[in-house]
Amino acid sequence: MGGQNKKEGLFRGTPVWVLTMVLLLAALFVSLLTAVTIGSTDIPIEDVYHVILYKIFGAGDPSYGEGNLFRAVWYLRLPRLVLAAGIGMGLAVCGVVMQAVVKNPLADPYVLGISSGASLGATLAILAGAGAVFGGNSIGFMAFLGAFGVSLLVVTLANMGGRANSVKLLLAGMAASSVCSAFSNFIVYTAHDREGIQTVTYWMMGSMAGATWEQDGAVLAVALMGLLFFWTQHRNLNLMLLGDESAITLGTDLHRWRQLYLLVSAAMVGFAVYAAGMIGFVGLVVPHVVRMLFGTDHKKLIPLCALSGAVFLVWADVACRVLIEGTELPIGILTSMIGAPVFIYLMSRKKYGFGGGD
Amino acid sequence: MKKAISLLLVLAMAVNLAACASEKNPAKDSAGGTSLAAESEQGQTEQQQGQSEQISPTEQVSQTEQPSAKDSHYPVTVTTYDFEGNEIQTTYEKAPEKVLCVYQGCVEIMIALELEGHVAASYGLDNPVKEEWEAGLSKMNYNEDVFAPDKETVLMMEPDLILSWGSIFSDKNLGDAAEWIANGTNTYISSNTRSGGHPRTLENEYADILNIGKIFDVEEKAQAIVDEMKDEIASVLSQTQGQDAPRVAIIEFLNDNITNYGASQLGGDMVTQLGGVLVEPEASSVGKEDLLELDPDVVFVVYMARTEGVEEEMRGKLVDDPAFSDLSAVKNGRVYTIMLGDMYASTVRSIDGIRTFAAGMYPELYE
Repeated sequence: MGGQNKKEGLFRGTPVWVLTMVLLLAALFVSLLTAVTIGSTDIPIEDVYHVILYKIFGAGDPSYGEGNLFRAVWYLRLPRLVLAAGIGMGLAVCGVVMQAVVKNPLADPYVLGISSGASLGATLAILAGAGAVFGGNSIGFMAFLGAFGVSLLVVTLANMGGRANSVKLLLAGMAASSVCSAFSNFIVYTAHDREGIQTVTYWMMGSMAGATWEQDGAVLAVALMGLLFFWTQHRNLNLMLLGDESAITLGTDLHRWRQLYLLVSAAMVGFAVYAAGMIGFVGLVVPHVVRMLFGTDHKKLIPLCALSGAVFLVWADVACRVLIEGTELPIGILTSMIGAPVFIYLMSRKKYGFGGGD
Repeated sequence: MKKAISLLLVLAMAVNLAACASEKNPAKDSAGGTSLAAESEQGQTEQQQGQSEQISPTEQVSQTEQPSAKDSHYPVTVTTYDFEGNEIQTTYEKAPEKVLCVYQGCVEIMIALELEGHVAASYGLDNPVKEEWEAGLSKMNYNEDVFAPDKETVLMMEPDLILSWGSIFSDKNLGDAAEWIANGTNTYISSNTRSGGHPRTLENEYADILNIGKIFDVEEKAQAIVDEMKDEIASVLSQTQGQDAPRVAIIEFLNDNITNYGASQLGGDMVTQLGGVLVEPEASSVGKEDLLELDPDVVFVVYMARTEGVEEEMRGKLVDDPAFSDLSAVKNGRVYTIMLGDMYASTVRSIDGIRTFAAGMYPELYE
């Protein structure tokens, strides 16, 4: 059932898939351990591992558990790498899901207005002082509210005057997106706050720099649960590529599922936005590359994307920190600079299938 | 079965979300609160220690032996602001020795107060420092390649004071002030970069200069710099008594928009204090037609001195635009330029802003 709608990739068969999964897991582990030794200042590699060993296993010299070296490794470098892995995982999975939900290979996690909702929230927090009650990360929290609120709005809009389908979702997303951008622009335009505007701009570019262990916990928990949830949904996701009519003849009504998936991924993306702002192209390019190599079966696609996304973002974050010495590039700029050309290259290739009826 | 599992997962996720929403932020809040509270307690205890030291007999002995002014100066406590714009009190036990200065005014104030030796590193000049300050800058480990340092660099630098603008303490840059203070690095931000929509005033610049003077125990020098500014304004006002107040606009051409600097901006405050009237004290931008209708006597065009020739280019956007040819200020040749750095968180440079405005508003005084 549904077997003929899947396009095969370059690599086929379950053993290959299992092997790749194991390799990717190992790669993620090695990446984290390598990346933690790289930073904007030169900390000797053995010191870095001493700190980690001391903190995790209590082994070694207690002097590694205090001081600025310890704080640089344990509170700056490691949390941001873990955050990068969590967000990369979440965004790549959401990308795959969104592409299936709106049945459009060009969709990314931000396609249904989530990005402009998040920007509106952030702009409100920075320029209008909204969300101050949330304390420390008021910008992130308002962004999360914006992202999630817009997703609810999109689902509601798409259901007005008849059931939502992928086209109506896209249209509702565009409408919500325009409204949010208009309001953000209005606030930016009327606010007389040069510094605030700069903060908004920087915030929009995305960065892992604010990572803390508490944030990591929340983001990782949501990303992992989202990943497991969507993994159980691989059959429905495959069906979505076939379209509603085919799905109904196969006995599944995708309508409700589509909205559930949308909200679950909105929560995942919202948390990513909360912690790190907007990071483009990860959710678009990673699924495309993985799909090209391993085919369009979501059962394999989802975990592969999760791991590749994590590895990709860990290294993207490293690149951000070392490309310009002494300062760091916003990660959103870097992912877009890498992502856009890769995407164009993928598009220009003839042999590319999205699966389903195309 | 599968449906049940997925339902469970969604439920778990919802619970997690709710938990995060309800728990995380109070937790964060209280964390911020406690560290701030801890900080202020620490400040208090430090102060108390300072006081009790003064009362303690041994200290009294040493004080009677060496009654120097330096000993009684510290500890000093000054008010500054965190990233959100909340007031924070910081205490200094001695003059900071490893200061990190970021952005124009914060770099220049250290030179003007001859505190270069206290600076560990400096960053972020929008335009070159004044000629007489160049020698001072060369002693401040100024970093040409990087505009502002990242958190790890600053952490490993171990400064005892970060002197910068409010925006640098965002969680994506250096992180909030309370965390730095708790770990032994004081922070001080230019008061006119405090977030939360507070008016930008000359009074804030005075306060900053005096506060830095207090922190480094060079209060007389700081007072002299502030007095020079106050005297300049007083002298202008006394010489122009009885004159009609000039009607002034301060504008900046940004892309296709004309930004207006109103009364709540530092430039606007300077003009008002110098006896001028802003034709548009409220709006953050004006249209061309608005400007024609307001028809100010004097127009100041703001420029950022990052590139050569930008000053004339910006002036040209007003005087060479045929739409503005009937503007009184254009016809009477009363269009002047002012560098943004002289009227934006300008600390010791504020004197230049004051003089530029005064010279444009009352040219006869400066001939």
